[in-house]
Amino acid sequence: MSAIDTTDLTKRYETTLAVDELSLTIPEGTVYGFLGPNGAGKTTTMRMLTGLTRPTSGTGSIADVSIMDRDDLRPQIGYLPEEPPLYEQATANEQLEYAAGLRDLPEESTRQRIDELLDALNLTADASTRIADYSKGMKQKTAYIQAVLHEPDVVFLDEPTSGLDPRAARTLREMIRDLADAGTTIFLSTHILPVVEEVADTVGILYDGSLVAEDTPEELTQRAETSQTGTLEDAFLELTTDGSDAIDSADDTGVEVTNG
Amino acid sequence: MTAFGLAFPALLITGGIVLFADAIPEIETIPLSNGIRGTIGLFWLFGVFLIGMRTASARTHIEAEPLMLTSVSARTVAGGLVVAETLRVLTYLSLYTLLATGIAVILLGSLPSLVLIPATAVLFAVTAVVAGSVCGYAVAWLVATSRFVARHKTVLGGTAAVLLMGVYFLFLYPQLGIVSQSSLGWLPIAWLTDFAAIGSPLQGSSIRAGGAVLTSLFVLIAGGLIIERETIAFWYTDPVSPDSGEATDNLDSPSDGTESSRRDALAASVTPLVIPRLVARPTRRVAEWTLLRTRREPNRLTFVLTPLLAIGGSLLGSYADSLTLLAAPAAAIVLAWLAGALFALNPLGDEGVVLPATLTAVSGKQYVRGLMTPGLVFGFPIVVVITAIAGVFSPYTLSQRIGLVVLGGFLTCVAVGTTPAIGMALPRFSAISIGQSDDVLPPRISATLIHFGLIGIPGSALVMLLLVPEIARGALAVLVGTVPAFILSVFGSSGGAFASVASGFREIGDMVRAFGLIEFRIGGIIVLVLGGIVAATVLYRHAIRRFDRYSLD
Repeated sequence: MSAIDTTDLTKRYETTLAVDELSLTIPEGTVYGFLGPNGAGKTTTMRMLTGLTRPTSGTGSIADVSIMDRDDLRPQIGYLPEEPPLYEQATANEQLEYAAGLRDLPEESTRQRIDELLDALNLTADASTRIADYSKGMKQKTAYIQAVLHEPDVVFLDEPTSGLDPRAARTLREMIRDLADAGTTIFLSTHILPVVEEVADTVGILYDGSLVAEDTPEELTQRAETSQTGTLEDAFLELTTDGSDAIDSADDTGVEVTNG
Repeated sequence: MTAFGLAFPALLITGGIVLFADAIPEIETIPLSNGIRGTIGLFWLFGVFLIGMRTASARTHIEAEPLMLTSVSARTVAGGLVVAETLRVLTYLSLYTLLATGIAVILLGSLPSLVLIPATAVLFAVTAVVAGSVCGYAVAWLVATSRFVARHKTVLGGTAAVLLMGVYFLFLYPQLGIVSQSSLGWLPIAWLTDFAAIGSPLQGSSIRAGGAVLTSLFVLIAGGLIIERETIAFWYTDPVSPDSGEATDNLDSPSDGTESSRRDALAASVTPLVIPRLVARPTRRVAEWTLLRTRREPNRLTFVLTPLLAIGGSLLGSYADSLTLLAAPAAAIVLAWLAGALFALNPLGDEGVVLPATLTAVSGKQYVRGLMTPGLVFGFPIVVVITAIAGVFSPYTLSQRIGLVVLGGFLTCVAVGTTPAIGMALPRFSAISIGQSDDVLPPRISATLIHFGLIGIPGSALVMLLLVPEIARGALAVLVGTVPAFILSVFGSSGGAFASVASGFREIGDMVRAFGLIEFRIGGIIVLVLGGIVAATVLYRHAIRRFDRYSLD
């Protein structure tokens, strides 16, 4: 069974085509790295897949539940948007208890899980401090806990390692990998390409609303004709560069770039 | 609007002066009474109160604080803020100062007034700003250093504000018979009136005038020193976290020894209020979250409560003699409206960045019920009890008192049931700046007005049907018969279609007047109650649908 399945998913805002006939099939228990430059349509895609935005056309399902059916979709998904969805005047304890309460999770086991996750992300000592006093990384960690608290089948993470120090970023990468190994599907959008290289099983690259490439990180890297350092970054830059940018890039580097 | 509010009274006064320009120069010596002094003293105290509120709530942080505090001394920064605030106050006073100086110099021929009235305005403003700043910084310092005050600042601040406003109204409306403005004539700062009056036909006391100047100097010197100490203590203090102690307390001393009470931080955050456990958990959590937001960001309430206090205050002054007559009906309508408006008049905007997480976590039914819970659990009993108490002191019959209590309860249910839909239909997502208060997210004025109209108009009609049905019948006849007939007859004065339609409306009015009083009363109450039930039910369902289908486009 596919964890995420979409067919010709399209979102149009008046004259702007944000996502164009996106078709994805992502198996259970995998980490799907979703890459694309700013404005490519990544956030719109994630919002459609989480039921927060209605597609203009096309279909999609998460764990066999239609993305149009928000009631049945709720237990299946966890979502960490780019801006941590936290109330700054609440403490982490209050915020996480609120999130758990909304999902009607059993109180005792949930409290234990909150404690474990806070401990794993080194937040226990600050759990009773207001979020307004947190650093960006601490907010990100709290929002991550909120997204995975109910152990959903599919977790959507938008820039989860943004603002984290190297140690916390490593911990989070390991947690993402552990989640996937336990059968959770991770849909991971980030600009930090080494993170994707390290944890993703498959990478999809979105450009101007269209999926221009989809493969394993290794295959994508090998496919990059301009590969200078043999990294995913080369493939990403090549696939997300239009004609004019390609000329500029070639001028800058002295390397010929072909448009993907 | 502010400029209009300031300029309009000044224009009226100018008009009056022009009308009586010939008579004013003939004014002979008038002794300066304690009533006049007390009025100035009362305005000064009100200014101190407002500036104290502004300092404590909106000006606790300096613009570019790290830069300022590492560049110049705290004394310079505090002094600059006092000067800026004084100039702001003087801007408001300038028009009236100019007017008073003009009258004194041109019409009354008092040359010293050319200097003394503006000097009085400056002394009045600067002393009020200094005294207000002393109080405001003291409050801000208390909030920053005392965990108890920080945690209960909304309740403490609200209580203090209500008490102070109450005292202010006692002085403002001497017809209440407790105190009067003359009682404030002893206040040395009120003697600034004597200082301003030197050379004019107003006969003041030169000793008091000197006393006012000395008092002003004392306020400035002592206040300045206190402000310097306060700001150094406040700006260089790490504020306490209002919650850390509470969490520790909860961990250390469980109230009933159970694991759940020991660790329920969200429930603890809204104590002493408690949402009953029999309420479904998601609904209970939304209700607790709503209370938490209300408690920690009380600024939103200020903008709902301020117009209410202003209107209520002026009505109190105008109808102080009819207080016992109006209190119970007013409680049944206004408090019922508040029970809904305080918690759910901008639910989607209040969620802010949390909205995506909320939409993907809870159903519309549970969310909307959660928004309604605080109004029903806490608002309903408060409305019923206050209406009943006001009813006891009213001249109404027992059945009318019971009717008012039932009406208060009914209107509370309608208000609470209709609020989420109106708030969701007219959300405000972007914080606004009001004065120096940034990032305030009050409900939209349109949402507030529509909700108030929806509760207030039918509520007033029900009160009239209950207490004065004959007036209600007459008012309805005028509304649906006489008024449209009059308007149409203006257009159709020479006959024709307009005149015949006007005649039809007149007949409708006559039909209404012909209704039996008992039938009209019972029929009217049934129609309005059913209308309220239908409106609350339809809007409750609409709010659920809107939340479930809400799209972040």
